[in-house]
Amino acid sequence: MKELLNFFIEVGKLKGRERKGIAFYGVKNPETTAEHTFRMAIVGWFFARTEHLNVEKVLKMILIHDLCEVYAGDITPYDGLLPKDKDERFKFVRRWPRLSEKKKKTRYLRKFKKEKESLQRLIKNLSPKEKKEILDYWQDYEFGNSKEGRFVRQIDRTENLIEAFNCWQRDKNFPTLPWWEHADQVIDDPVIQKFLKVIELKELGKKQTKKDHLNENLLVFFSELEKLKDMPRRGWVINDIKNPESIASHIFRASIMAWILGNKQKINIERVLKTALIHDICEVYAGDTTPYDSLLPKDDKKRKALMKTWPRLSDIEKKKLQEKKFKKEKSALEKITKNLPRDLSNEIKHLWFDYEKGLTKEGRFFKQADRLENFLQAMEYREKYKKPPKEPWWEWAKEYFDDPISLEFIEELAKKFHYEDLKG
Amino acid sequence: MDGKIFYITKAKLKEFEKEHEELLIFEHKKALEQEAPKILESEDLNPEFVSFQEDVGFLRSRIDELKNIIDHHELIRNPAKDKQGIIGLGAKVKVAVDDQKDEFIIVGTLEANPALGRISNESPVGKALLGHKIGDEVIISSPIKTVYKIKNIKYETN
Repeated sequence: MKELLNFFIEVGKLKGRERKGIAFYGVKNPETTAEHTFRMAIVGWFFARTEHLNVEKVLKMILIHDLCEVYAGDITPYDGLLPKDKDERFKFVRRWPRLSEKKKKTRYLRKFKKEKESLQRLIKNLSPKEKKEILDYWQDYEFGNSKEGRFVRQIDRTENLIEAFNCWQRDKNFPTLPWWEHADQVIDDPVIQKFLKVIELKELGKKQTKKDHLNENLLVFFSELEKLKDMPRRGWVINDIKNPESIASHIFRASIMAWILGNKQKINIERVLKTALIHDICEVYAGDTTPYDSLLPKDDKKRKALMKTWPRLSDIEKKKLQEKKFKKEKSALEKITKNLPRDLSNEIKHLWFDYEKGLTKEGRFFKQADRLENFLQAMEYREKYKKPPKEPWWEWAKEYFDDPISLEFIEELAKKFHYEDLKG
Repeated sequence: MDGKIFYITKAKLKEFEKEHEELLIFEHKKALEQEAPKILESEDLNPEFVSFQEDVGFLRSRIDELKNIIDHHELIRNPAKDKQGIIGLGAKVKVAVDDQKDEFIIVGTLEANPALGRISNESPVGKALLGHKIGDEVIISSPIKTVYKIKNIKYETN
């Protein structure tokens, strides 16, 4: 468990790894690798389903495809080519870099080597089975060995194009051209191409002769998810954490944790991963809530004092709050899924309901994995910023977790983050 | 699963049995490609039940899950009168944590919902409270020390 904990901590670095390709253009708070991966997983799931691919394989491959960035950083096609002159650089990044075949090959091999070394370093202490699984998926993605591997590479570009489109929607000066130039070289899947046509026409300001409702609605849905990349987790905001993680970042690591910890149980990992990916999408409209919300004083000192305790409420208050939250989130989920194909929207609603009510072992397991991720993040922030206060978190954890794997994990957290307390 | 015993209340067992029976009927009707029963159009119905309509895989896994629980359950029963001063499964416990009051019901993992004060008997706090009586102080440490002073224990009729 110690090795897994360290692995999750390292993976967490991707929550703060800004995507250089977006930052080039002066976008404030560009998305992170974790956020990109989150939405890419949802996009991949939806299209993989249509194309009858192995969804579990697709989701796993997406979740790990950028893990190599933990140590290698985000390597872009512009690296080492950017002109020093500001004006020239401005122009240069607005087109896809064109290089000779030889140069392309040299750069690709250099990138591949660096990323592979980084990934191997990241997973070196995992079990041989976990190591093999991750490395095999990554190589499949890199080389496009399987149809899923080739598909995921295209989904990567698709998410980039949606991101570029969303940036362009906010600021019409955002250059989407280089993204298109790249995508046009990579994407040959007709289903994805049809989807991209919708984006293209919107950017060109043209109307389709025959409206493609399905893809129009998918684009709206994916674009709404963009909000989760910008939405900070409220639990950190009320604890005055600087630049807190977004909801999308939390979902990313919670998915990875659920997969790897879930391997230790006899559960359906595909179902767990899907649950992980959708469990917070209602927050696009419902916002994030914390157990402190009904008690928050306006006065700063009082608020800080409140954060040192775990909120204790009466049975009636607990019930009232829970019902209110459930109702609000359910209606938000209905709203965000309403224009998706019916079977897909139903699947998402089932998974969410299962997560909320613990109907299956997968739903119950993910609920614990979700909170483990939250707890780990709290410990990490505490180590970095000396907040949030540790006492309420541990009080809560000892009442909350009951799954043997979760209990083993929190014991490991105690050893890692509270060595001094345990000694004393 | 894997031979695990599920501790559940009588009310919950009844709920599971009813759901199991209804889902089996529904599955059968679906297999016969009959129309969904009228009951499914009712707004009062459990939304999770309604949502099973178009997801055969989910429907089957829920049926299997319920069957496994029904086959491997143990009912949470109130202890004899003279043992009701001791915390066991099903006990409603009032505690004081520092200066704050709180209430828990100790339940099995399937009914646990800490946000509603339903604490699993397999959680560290649930486990530690079991066997204690009013006036006891239960200390949960490792790594942070929390003291639960037991103020009251009650068993609801089940």
